[in-house]
Amino acid sequence: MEKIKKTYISEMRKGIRKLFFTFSLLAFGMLVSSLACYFSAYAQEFAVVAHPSAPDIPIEELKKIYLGDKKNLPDGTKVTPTLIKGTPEEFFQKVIGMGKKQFFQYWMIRIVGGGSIPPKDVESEEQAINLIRENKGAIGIVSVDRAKKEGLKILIVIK
Amino acid sequence: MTFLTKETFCMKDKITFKFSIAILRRVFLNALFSLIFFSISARAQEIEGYMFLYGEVGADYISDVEIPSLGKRGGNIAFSLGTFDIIAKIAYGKAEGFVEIPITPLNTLYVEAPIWSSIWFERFYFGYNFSELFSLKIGGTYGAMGYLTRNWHRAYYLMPIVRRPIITNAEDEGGVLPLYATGVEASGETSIGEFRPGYIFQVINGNYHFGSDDFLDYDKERTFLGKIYIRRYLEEIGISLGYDPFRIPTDEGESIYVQNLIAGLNLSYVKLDGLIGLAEVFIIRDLQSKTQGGGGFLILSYPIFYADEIEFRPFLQFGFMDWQEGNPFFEKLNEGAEEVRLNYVSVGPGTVKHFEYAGGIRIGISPNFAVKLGINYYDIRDEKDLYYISVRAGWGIPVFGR
Repeated sequence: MEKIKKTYISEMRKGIRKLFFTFSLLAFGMLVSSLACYFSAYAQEFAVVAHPSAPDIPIEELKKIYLGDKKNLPDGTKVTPTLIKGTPEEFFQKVIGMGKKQFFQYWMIRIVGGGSIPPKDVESEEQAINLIRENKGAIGIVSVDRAKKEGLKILIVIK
Repeated sequence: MTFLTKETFCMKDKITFKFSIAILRRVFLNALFSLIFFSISARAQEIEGYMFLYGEVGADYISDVEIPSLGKRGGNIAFSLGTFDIIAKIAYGKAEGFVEIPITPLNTLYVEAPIWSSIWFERFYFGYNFSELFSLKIGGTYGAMGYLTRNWHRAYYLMPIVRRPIITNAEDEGGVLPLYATGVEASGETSIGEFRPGYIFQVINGNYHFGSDDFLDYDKERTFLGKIYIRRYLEEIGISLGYDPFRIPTDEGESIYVQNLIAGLNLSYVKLDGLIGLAEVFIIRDLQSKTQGGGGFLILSYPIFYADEIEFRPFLQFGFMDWQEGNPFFEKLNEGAEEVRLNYVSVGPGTVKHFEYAGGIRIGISPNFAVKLGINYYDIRDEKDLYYISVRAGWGIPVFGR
């Protein structure tokens, strides 16, 4: 009886060890995949893009366009700046020269003053790409990979 | 059995005629609205615009307020219903339309006005942008003088301050500058690197206190306002000039002719994540009496720290107003709303010789919401001083944008 009890306890311990090992492996796997996702997202490069036939637009001009002080491209085409949901903070800091919060506050002041029309909000990368393809004056922010795949003109890459 | 007499027949004709008119009107309106609807649908891709709602609520402790109609005087704490504004703009190609409709509760202690009069067009104009250098607007907008009025006039929640300086008050609050501008405006800008030099020129209905309102120009005297400026985004250096002739009616049934020449200077430094410094000064000289008055203000504000992206931005404000004895414009306004054509005035100092000192903090919770706390102290010459302790919550939200 004692022997059976010992064998039972030993088997139960082995089972617990196996279960613990399996869960540990699962947790490790999840951790690794999460980190991979995090770093891949972190490392994703964004680009300010335009219609393939659009002229080059330097960063100073992009700032003016997004702040409503420039309404036409160098070739005279009416410009339509767009902002995708979740535009990275880096875009505002590097291109506009102010934080995301200040950018939206800036536009609230311009709107109250009766100023220009703010950049157009787009829901998804897909919508931004479609708009840019259809409109020579449209400018948007999409991932570099997607911009290359769609053959859009990359104006600036934001890392 | 009903006999059709001449009268009943005529009545029937009248009813039929009215009915026909009603049908015609309905058909015409339907056609018109259908036309507008189909035009908009057809051109929807080319139409841009936005609509925003913004407003403010709060409470004040007022040190000493006089309510003549009730014969009461004393300290008072009051919650204010604040303001609620609808702002919308539509642009189609080079044409644009803009409207701002505030819904503001009027102070019934001072005003005997129907409730609908608390809803009006604050600004309402149509414009056409011929080029960057020349745009034309027709309708009602704000006077070209200075910076704060034109840029931040009703958006209290965006300003770092709690109360506007008295010199920037609207005419119906005893303000001395031409703020409401109904007429024609030409404006333009050009680019020199990051800087944008520009101009605004307005020909508007005469003086709002004595000579005109949104609809009529009683004394047929036009007001001319202009400003030249150089701006860089929200920063601006500007020089304003204006000519505002009008007649002040006297008790004897005659009038005093006033020719106000207005000059203003504004230095406006606005870094939304740094220093905000606004300085404006105005001189108003009556060419008839050869006397002058004026005032100005200085506002300084800087964010001292951020907590979870909430910005804590203290501010300091200083302002003044003064005039020479014998200036009919300032003296008449100083007599109060009862004496002038205006039939309403806000609680608080109107046109008074004063110094104002204010301080407080703006807590920017998001670009759409802010809470402010401040104290405004008015050192009023020859009268009891006055102060307000105020707390305000302001907001602005987009309804649509395309």
